[in-house]
Amino acid sequence: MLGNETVKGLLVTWANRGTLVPALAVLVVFYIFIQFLIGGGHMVPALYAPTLLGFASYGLAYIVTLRMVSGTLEEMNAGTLEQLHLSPLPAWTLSLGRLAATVIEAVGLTGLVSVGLILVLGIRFSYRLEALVPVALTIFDVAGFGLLLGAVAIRVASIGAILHVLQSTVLFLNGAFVPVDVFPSWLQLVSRLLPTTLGVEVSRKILLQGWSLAAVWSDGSLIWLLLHSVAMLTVGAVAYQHSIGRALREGGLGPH
Amino acid sequence: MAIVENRARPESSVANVTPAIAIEGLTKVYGDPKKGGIMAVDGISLSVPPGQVFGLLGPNGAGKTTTIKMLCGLVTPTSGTAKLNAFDIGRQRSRAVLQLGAVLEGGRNVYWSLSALQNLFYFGRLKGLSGTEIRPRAERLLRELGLWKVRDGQVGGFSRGMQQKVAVASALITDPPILLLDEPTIGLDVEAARTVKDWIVGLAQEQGKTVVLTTHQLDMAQELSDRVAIMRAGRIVADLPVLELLKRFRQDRYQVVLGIQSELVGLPLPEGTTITHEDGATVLTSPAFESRQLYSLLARLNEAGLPLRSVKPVEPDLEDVFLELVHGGASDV
Repeated sequence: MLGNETVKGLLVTWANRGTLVPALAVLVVFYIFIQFLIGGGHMVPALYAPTLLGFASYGLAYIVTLRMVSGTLEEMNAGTLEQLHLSPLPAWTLSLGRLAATVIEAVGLTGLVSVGLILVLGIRFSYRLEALVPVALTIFDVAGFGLLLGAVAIRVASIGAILHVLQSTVLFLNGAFVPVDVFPSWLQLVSRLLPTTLGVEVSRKILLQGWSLAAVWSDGSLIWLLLHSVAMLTVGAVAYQHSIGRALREGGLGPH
Repeated sequence: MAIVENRARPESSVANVTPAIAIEGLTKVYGDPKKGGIMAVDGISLSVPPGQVFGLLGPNGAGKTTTIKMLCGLVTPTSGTAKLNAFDIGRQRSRAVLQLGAVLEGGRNVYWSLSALQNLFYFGRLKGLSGTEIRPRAERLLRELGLWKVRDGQVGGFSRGMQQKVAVASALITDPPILLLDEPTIGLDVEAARTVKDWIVGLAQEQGKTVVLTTHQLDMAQELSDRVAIMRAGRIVADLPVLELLKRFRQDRYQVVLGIQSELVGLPLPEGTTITHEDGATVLTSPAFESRQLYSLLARLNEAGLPLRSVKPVEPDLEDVFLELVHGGASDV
């Protein structure tokens, strides 16, 4: 089932590859624009690595939320979401399949952009396998966020504006521009509620400052990231299932 | 109260057969029933034997689509049960949905970004088939529908008729015994509609599939259906084999066509006669009367020198019955 959904998602993405290349190019240009902005009109190599972590996690959140929202709405209007639920499989399996396809696509595209920027700009990290832990937790966190917004999309067709505000909030507050530490305390709290901020902080400590996993566990940052990811994934999954269940009761899976 | 009969098959042949579809007291109220929710379907019951083409008709808002979606498990009933080959869609959903394929109204039903073949593989796997099971079925379906040569083409680039054929093929990829078709020929040209119609007949007659057809195209319903149910305001107001339904609404009227356009001023006509004009001809439609009255009318028309073109009894079609039941205030049958 997961394979079937994933293959379909990737085939659909590939079929729409004509729009994919410009979208990736825009992401690259956007990153360079950010560098000029925070460098006071100059490209400052020292800022590349810390901001790339924030930018990559934003890209991940952007693609996942976009696919979960616009993809859900598109499938509802096309009637394919109803066809999907004519499957004998339980609704949660179907949701998991959709999410897996979305995450694989998002990780692939974000990875592609990040690797491209690393190679072109010569960005250096101290690559360590330990960094995979915060990266994986961030992916789970973002997946939960995507499910949450997907749940809203099933109920609220005009979710577009909400989506743009949330995506922009993630971009401006997750550390892609400036470290979260420079924000006032109340804004730090807000930023750390977002799905990527804690992951970026832990990743920076490991990849840029050489911290070990034990160290980020001891200072509590990894624990908070773990709790945040579990909570976001749980809330997202429950909300999505609730939304699907309600739509099934009311016939709301079809065209709006 | 509606009198619900099933005369599409002799009673002896259906008595021991599990109905393909069995609906009992199916009700759907949108919103909170205690706070004045909207009654979409009001306690309908019906039984459809295997191999029957069953037309579900009604005006917009009558409850057809809600009924179809409850059969699919896409809308949860407020009360009542729906069984597909004895599997309760509420309690045995995973078994029940394997009994059916559906093409639902208002959507594409398939992925336009994918090819026809990719769609069939996707929907086949979604229902638990393996790739080796899907391939021969997909080839047979696509060949039968004339789509094999374009199997790798993106469905979004197909004509509307071809897209609808892909949707029907996707619904049939698991070879389900029951097919639910909500407006299957809407938007199709004559040729494509003819292909789909022929296929529907073939599915029932040659493959023994049960087909539930909802449509606003009453001529198509009359042509294809063994039996029709007409819904009005969430209730079934008629449920009979097509011929039986037409017989019930036969009014023993005669139609006399004159080969000239005339208002027939001063000519005494039987009470209730209507006069219309079509293509330069005058059409008199009269309620039933004894044959001597008909001879008398024809003699008067002859004396007036009016050229007679034809005399024939008027048979109602499904549209007449539908309009009578839905708008004419006819009692339930």
